[in-house]
Amino acid sequence: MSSDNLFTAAEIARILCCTSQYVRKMLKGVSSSETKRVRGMMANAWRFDSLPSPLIARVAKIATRHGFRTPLELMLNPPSLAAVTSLARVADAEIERAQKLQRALSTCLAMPAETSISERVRIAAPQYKREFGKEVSDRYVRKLIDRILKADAGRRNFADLKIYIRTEHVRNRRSPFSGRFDFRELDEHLSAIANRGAPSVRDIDFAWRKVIEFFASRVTSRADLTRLKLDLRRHLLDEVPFLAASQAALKRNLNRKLRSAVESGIESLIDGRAGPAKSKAAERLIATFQDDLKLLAQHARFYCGGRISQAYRQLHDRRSHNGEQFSERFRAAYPFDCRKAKSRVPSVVRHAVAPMVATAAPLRLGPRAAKLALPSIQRDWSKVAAGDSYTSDDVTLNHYVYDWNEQGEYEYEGRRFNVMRPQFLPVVDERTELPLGFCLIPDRNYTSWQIKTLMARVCMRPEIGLPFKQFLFELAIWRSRNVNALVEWTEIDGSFARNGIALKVRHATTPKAKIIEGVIGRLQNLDEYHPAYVGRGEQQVKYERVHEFLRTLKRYGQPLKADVHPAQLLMSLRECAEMVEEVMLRFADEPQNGERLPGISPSEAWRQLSLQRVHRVLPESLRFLLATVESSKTVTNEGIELRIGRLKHKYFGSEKLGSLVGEKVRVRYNPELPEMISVSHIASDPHGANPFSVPLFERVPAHGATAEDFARAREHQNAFANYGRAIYRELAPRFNRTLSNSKIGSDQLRAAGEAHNRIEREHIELGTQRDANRGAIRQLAAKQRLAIDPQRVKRPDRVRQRLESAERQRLRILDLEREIASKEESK
Amino acid sequence: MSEAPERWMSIFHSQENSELSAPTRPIRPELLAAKMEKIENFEQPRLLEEFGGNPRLVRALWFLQWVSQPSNYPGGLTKFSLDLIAASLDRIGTLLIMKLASRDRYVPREAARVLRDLPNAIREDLLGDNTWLFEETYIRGSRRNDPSDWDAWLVKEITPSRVRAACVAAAERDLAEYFKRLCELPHVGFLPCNRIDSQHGAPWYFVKIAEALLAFIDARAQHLRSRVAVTAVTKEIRRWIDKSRRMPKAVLFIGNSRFGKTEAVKLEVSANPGSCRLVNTPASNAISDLLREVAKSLGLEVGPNNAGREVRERIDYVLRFSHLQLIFDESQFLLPANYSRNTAPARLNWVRRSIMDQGNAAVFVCTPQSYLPAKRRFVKTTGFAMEQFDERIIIRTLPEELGEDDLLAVARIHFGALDGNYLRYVVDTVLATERNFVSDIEKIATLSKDNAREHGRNRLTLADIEAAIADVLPTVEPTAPTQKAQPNRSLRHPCKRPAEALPMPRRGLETLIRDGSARAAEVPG
Repeated sequence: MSSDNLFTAAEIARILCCTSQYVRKMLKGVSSSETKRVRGMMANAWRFDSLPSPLIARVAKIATRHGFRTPLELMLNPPSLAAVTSLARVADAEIERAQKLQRALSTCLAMPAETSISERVRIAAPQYKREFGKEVSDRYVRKLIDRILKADAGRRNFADLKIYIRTEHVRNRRSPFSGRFDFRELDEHLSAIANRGAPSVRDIDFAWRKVIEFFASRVTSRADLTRLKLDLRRHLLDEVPFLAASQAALKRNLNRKLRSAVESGIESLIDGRAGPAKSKAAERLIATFQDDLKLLAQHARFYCGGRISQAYRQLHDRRSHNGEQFSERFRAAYPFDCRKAKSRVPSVVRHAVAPMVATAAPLRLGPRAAKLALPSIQRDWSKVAAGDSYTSDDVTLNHYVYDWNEQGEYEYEGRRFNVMRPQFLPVVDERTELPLGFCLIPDRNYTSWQIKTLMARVCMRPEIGLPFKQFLFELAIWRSRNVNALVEWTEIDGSFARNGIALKVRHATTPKAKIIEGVIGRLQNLDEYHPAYVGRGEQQVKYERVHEFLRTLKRYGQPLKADVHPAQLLMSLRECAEMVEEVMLRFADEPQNGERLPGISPSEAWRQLSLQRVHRVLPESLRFLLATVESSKTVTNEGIELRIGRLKHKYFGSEKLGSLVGEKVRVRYNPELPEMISVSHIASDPHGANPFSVPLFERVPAHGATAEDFARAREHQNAFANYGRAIYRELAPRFNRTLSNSKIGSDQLRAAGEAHNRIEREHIELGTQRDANRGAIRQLAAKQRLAIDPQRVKRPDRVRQRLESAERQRLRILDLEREIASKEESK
Repeated sequence: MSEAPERWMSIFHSQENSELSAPTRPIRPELLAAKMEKIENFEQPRLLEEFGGNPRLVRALWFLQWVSQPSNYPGGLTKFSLDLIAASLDRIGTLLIMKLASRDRYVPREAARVLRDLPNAIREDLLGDNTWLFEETYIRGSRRNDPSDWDAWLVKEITPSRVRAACVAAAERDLAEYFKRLCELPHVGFLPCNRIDSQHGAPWYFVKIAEALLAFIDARAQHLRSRVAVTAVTKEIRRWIDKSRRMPKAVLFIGNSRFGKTEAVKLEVSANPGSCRLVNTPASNAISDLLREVAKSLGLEVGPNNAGREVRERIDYVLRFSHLQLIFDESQFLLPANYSRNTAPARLNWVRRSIMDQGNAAVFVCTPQSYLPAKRRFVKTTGFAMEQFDERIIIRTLPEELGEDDLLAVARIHFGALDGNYLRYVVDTVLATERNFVSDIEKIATLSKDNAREHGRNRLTLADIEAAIADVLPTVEPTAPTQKAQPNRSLRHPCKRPAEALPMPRRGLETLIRDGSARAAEVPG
């Protein structure tokens, strides 16, 4: 009979960390099976299977805790004592400390084994203070007593100074068993991993399982745990470095794997990355506290700007503005102390909530942001040719410029000017990005009329012509009636379709769909070298020199300030237009990359992708289709009222119009010529072949004009002046084919266009004549005391001639009367 | 006839204060229309032949009817007769008297023949108690004892001047009544009649009454026209009124106000009242008002108790046989003023049925700003087929502005014999204001004359005209020179005066005006 399965009461007590007396008491009813020699003395011993079940259960629990497969295995391999084995290498200070502790605890340790720990603490606490000169907590004393009892392992040999020595200090000492671990068995298993340079997750799992199995086998064989871990880590870092990035990480991972193996078994050692995305804790969290997580995500996104820590803190401590709070169960499961770590959020909670918060970010902004957050739609450009579609957009230029203006905010030597970042409206071909023209507007915003004028000028340019298919614009003002009128004329006559002119206006709903956004960005990359550049985010990034210069400019009404010419730093609007033109031409010749322009410039792409097609150009007689806006109006006693932008323009002062009060008329309006409209009566002139012009009428009452009247008149004046101040340029492609068919459209349509052009020409000529004769008429009329407004006369030449003739006749009459008077005096 | 206007002026002015005999009542147009009806019905073949030979005589009858109205011709028919006599002294008398008008005295044979032409009453006036002796001697031929003695006496008593004076006296006494009988009795004509009592033809003292009357009408028309300047507007109106009368068709004149449109129409009506009459269209909704106005223009007597139907029938009757051309001024009032969607245009319907469809000429005068909107509104509301009215008329749009020659002519009329430099100065000034109003020149002329009169002058001066221009045309007051005070010196440096506003940088329509060299290839259709 082997004595391996025989255990004395002391040995059992050592396993159970209790006194041998307590074990004998438990074994009182069990007769000892045999005797066993212990240190030369025969002692009663019991077989393991003869032990009472309470004892076996306690041993099994401890075996499970320490990783032993069976309780018997634990009994055969009892853990080493918690105390040091020798005082030879212990420092004197530590020995002295141990002696103090021995004296402090001697009384309580001498008490019977049944004495409760609290009673022992009550006895030991004042003695500890007396020995060490400081007061400690009862908890600490309890911890010390517990450690000493475990180190004594039930022997009750409290005189042994070794059990008072702190074990943690001796852990780093070299063990006599060091260097004696054989890792060849482990290496054989690890050699199965083929690619150690890039191991898979499965390889890593395999390695960890073998490491833990080896460790358990060595522990079973009573190896020194500390020494084993240390040597094993060193060996693993050399052999399988992919298990951890550093020694510290390996130590941490090894301990975690050991704990996991003890709790769940070696087979559960699986890399979390290879398994399901969520840990069991996360799954448990989501399953149990789904409402709390939603509340946290909602609160963080909608009330805390996405800051999870803040939301967690508010919901935990009920400090939110609406009084919301986590459930009591959640708070109990995840306690929180704001005073210790106010921003601490359990990682499992943070990981569970963070995606929800991030996903809800665009929703917090609105539906458009949510739409923009969706993945991009990839377009196939292979079937789109150059010239198919013209596109345009607006951007505020990144340069401050000045513009002489009689209503300007600044002045220099009496001349007034404005300083602003002009609105820049480029037009490019959608497929090739070739710039076709642009408009610079010296204002903070722009109108649909300016858009229409820009597109009409580009399309009427003989070197450019109309697009083949469409215009692509964004929404907002680009969706206005005026802009849509750019293509509506193609449906009024079948001959346009027969000539291949069928245009549409499409509107991009998101910035991703607009090619021109990228073009604008690349144009902005090219213009930074010009003066007064203020960057793309003036509000965030300040260019100090430019702003300093702007502050030095003299505002109108600042008499004490020195005159500073704006050209010292700023470009004029015209110079800015030159700059933009130069930049756009440079961009046209710059090779691009990407799917649409693979290594070719926009100019080259225009040539290569035009497919030798010919762009249509409308004849002059049909220019009005593009350049004007048509609407149907009813003539009232106030004439015709057109709302252009936010301003109402009244047109009357025509006797013909007066005869059409109450009638529907067709009104054509040219944004380039806002002083007049051409009107035709729909009932009597359905084709508009005999239109007549009606001038703008905006007159301030001579007496009793209110400030509002003057303000409105000035607003109209400024609006009018702005029509003329915008600068339009068209950039003709180097290679392009255009064709203008003078017979396109119906006869009535061309006749109407000719009539409209005639009216416009007459109006322009009239304006030119008025300007030419303005001074002479004003001078002569003043001399003859006649109230004649040079800007309202219908025939300036004739009025001037009449005034001159009247003046001549007047002088002749005066001579005549002088002669008569002298004759009468002589008589 | 060349000196006719001056002559007529003298007649009109000289007889303004002369006493008139008992006034003759106005001629009733219904009776004249009845006479025309009988003539057209071949009941008076002599008159038919007479009027057929000279259609102007018919118009002369209606002219007489017009002048018989004191509202048209002050003094009525009596005054008109005196004016006609004064203007036609060389045509008064019998044929023999007129033949021998150049003699200073008659030879006995001529005197005897003249004596035979004169009626008994006149003979008694000329010869007194010895009338029967001369009648026995020269008319019956029973006493021929010593003709030479009788001849000398006869020649002494019967002189051309005494005979003419007797004829004039007879005319002044009886001519108005003759005119009334001429127009109202169906058998009385213009030409001399063989009947002894001469009740059916021209009176003995005025054998060439038709010729004299037509000459008077022409001279009067010429005189009236000389008082109004000939402009493009008046020419156009006169031409198309005549054309309308000749065709006969309805003509619609559309022209802006203050260009002499109504003046020209009134002139034509007053110059040719035998052919056309002016109707001032009343601005109301009732057709009875229009009928009363038409009746008034035709000379019909309409009292407050006359039924509308009766008035309408009388008007229709007169129009049917007078063929007078009606000229409706402010014809936009023919359209209903108040209407619903079921309203019928009563006035338009009457004009269409009673005038146009009866073959009578008509003229409508209106301004575009008043007529066209009113018509469109009415058509829009009622859905009335205006084509049945529009297609019956010829629309003439009058010139919208007057030229220099027209305005000079107007100025010449209103300023009279003023130096040409003055006239040209006024016209140039008016044209420079681009108002083109005829009324401006008229006002300037009137005010200038009054200014001169105020200063006790007969001759206009430049100062008078300039003052009138300042009152009529829009002028600016000359800025009076003000005493500039030294401004208080400010401690602050004064702000610089803003510079003159820059001219708006208009570069014209670049999409409209392009360089031809940059044009796309034009291909013919």
